[in-house]
Amino acid sequence: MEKKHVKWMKMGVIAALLVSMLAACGTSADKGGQAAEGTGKDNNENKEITVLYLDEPFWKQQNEEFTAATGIKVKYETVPFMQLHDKVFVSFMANSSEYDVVHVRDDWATEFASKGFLEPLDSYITDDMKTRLNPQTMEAMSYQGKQYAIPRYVWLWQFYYNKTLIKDPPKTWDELITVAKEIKDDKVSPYAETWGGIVSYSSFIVHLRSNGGEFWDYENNRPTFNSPEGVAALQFMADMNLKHNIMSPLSKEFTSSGAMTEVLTQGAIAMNMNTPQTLPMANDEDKSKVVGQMDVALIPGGKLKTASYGETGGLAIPAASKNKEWAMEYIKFVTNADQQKKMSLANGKIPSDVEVVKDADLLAKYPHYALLPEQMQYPFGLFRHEDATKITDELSRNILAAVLGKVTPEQALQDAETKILAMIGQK
Amino acid sequence: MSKHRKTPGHTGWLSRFDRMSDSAAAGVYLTPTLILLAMTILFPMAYALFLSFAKMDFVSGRAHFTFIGLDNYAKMLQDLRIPNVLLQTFTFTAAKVIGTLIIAFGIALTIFHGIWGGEFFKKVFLIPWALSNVVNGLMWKWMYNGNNGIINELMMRLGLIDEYKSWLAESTTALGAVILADIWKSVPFAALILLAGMQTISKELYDAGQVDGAGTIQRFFHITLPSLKPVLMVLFVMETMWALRAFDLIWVLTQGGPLDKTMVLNVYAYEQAFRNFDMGYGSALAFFITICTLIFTVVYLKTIGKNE
Amino acid sequence: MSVKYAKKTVQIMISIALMIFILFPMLWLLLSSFKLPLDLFSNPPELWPSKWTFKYYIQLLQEKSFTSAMLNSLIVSGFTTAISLSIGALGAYAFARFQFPRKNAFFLTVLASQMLPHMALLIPLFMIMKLTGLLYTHQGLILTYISFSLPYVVWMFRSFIIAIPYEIEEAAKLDGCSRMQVIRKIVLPLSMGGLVTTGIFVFMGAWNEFLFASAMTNMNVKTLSVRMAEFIGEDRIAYEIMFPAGIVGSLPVLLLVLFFQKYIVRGLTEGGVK
Repeated sequence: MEKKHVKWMKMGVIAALLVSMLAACGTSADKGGQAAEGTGKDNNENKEITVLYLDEPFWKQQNEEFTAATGIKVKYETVPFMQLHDKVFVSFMANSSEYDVVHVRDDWATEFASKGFLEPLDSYITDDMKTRLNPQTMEAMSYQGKQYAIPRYVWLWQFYYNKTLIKDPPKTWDELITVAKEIKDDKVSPYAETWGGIVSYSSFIVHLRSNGGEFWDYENNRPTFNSPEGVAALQFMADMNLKHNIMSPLSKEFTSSGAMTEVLTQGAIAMNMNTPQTLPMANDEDKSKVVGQMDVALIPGGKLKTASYGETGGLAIPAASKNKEWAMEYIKFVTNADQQKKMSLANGKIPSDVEVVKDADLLAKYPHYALLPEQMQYPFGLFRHEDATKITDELSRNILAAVLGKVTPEQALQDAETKILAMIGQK
Repeated sequence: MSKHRKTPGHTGWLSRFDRMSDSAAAGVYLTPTLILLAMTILFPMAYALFLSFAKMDFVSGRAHFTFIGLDNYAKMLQDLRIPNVLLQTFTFTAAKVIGTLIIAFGIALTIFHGIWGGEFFKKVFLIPWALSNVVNGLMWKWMYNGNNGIINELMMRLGLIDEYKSWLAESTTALGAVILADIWKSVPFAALILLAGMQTISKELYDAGQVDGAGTIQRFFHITLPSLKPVLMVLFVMETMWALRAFDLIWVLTQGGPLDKTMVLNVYAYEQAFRNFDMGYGSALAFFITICTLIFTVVYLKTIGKNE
Repeated sequence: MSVKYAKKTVQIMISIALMIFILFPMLWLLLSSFKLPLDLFSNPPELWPSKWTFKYYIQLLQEKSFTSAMLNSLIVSGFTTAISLSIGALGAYAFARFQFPRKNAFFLTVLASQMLPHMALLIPLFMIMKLTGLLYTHQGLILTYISFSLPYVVWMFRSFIIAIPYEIEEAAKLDGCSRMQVIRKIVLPLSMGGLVTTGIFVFMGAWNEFLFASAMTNMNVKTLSVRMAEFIGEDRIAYEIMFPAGIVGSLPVLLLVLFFQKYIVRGLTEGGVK
């Protein structure tokens, strides 16, 4: 009896120990990233940086190449793209220095920089970078005149159409309607855009731009989408859906371009604006029913010959990083021309380096690259603002309401403008 | 306190523990629980209360909290999205609770009357209940999809619709679709409880009813329903509390869209706190939900009190 | 006679309809998990795969992000269950058997804390974990899960203990059993069913939990439900992997539940109604 007693007590003690362990060993897991600190002058074997990005084979391979070239080790953390922003933001919230290099896109660069999370990189930028890298992408990574990230790729929309159904791709949006109405196949929706969730603003920006409109007055920090050009753009979107009936009814369900590509590869959509993964996916024989049928063109225009939408992906260094020099070495390495070409060959991301885009190997592999130099001369950048997420979420809800015919385009833009002005504390 | 003999070997604090009063012993037993609850509930709630009175700012990369009094609560009154959010929360809760109870009642009756497959039902029932909300969401999202969702195809074949619909993206159907998916998961639990309740109604009561010449329908309204009232009441309150908590399923299915048509309070609070990173406003919203839930808790405790 | 027959037919039809309502979604998920992409997207959808494939199950089990998520879920749910049960059972015993000052107030506090909406706890717990460095650790998540499972254990297990006749305990005490021995030799064996049921509920709750996990994990401690929700968060949803993941990820809990079905039905009804 006594022994059992003791055993019972032991269980209690273990339980108590478990509890104290919970409190005691919690901090250990976070600290790995700083191990290399203070050993700067030793050889590179002790150097390590922590990088956060996606779980894709190429990026891991690139890290290994970097370590081989410089001796600096890379601790690589991954997260799905949709959660990248939140993870980075959270890591900044308690001023931690978990990461030395983080991936940012146009609007995040602005948001993070405005809160003081990022290190300005102006002193690191070489003339070589300035001449090589596409100026729109450099601009996208800057905030208030300072450079906060180095662009490495663009994920740009182009116009993809099924050449078995359409002979001449439309050059203007009005032509698109004519072309669309000539398609007589019941099973095929002539055109689709991503209107689902909170992404409809991105299509709207393209229409607005081709009408010659502007989305935002950056100098006075005011929205300018509620203009005659904006109303016309939204009216056009609503008309495509309600009056001309050329839109895929799934448009309102598409919350990402990937979801739209999926339906496109089943042959249910004749034309759309989509990302560089479109052709590779459409020609994948395991998954696609339109192998060899899709072709690419400039996005239709209006007042402007063409306009697009696409995020620039760049690399930034958190202000709290303790390994900034090595982080910069990493950034220089992965944005060099050679690595950009490898990246593009591996996953189709469009290099930010103007010359690499014209590389013969890339052109051979990706036919749609031939049109990129021209497409990229016209506007394509994301809307950048400290509160970009809130603003575009609000606008998207109003745009969706308008294209579904719940409110008039005028009303939708008016409502969005009022709410957004209130949101940013303007009148 | 009961007296008992001491075994000779008892020494030290263990025997002292045995000599303690009940209150003191209860203290020993309860201490770990209370410490953990203080750590994981009381302290966080106090912190949440503080957050709901504060605003988070960033000054050169560091988070600062400024006390702003009731501003976050005042914001709720001015927030143009709130009336709709409250409406959706109410609709979702009411429809889910009532729908669950009615279907569960039907199923429980079917099993109770010994109709085909009762035992099998009981086994099968546990599957939706044990499935996670996330998997449940993925499953229904797939069935609802407007491209080749099986629900579209079935309804087409039955002649209920003449073209595929995007059930979760249509502003008129999204909320209904979410509610149905949620009901599917919560019906089994409710049905099992109701069934247990029915099985406790004594046979004599029914036999007496039969002697009095009461028909099936009369017996249902005069015997079954009144006897089940306490069980129904408890279920009603519990289902309501769960409905007010709903998050995972909605997050996976619609994230509150389209046009905020499935934006319930819980999802809205999450969006404010973890998409817009407005921790103060998110906390204020969460407190509002807490108060609503506590009201139901009081009702619930009163019901329990009556039952015991 | 014929009226009775017709009635029976209607009843059976209702049964079948209900059965389809409950079973079909699961069946559809299961069938989808054996389909190749071209089958998955065929329009109109076909019930049976044109070619059955196990390819994606194999691919899934080789994927480290999935197996490590499974392991994380196991660690977190296991520890949550063990700790909540061992600590909560003692608390439940105190509430069931002892009279002490402000007992009702304490019990109400425990009950109320079980009913708090998780959203209200998420934000402060997240900030606290961030400040203490427990964010993105197993320990942090376990502690978080204890916040809702411990009150549940106390509440649920209490009703199981109350169901044991007190006379047995008194007799044991007269025989010289100490307080701890009474619990160990009398209460625990007699409430084994309750303990198993409560344990399964807690394990299931932790295994399926998503809200806290989505905010409080990174790739090192990511649990299954978070991994699963990520499929939908990707630009292009990998359906062919997502469905096998849904099946495999639900299996542990489903097996547990079906295996202990009798206990659970009893636990649900007793715990739920009382």
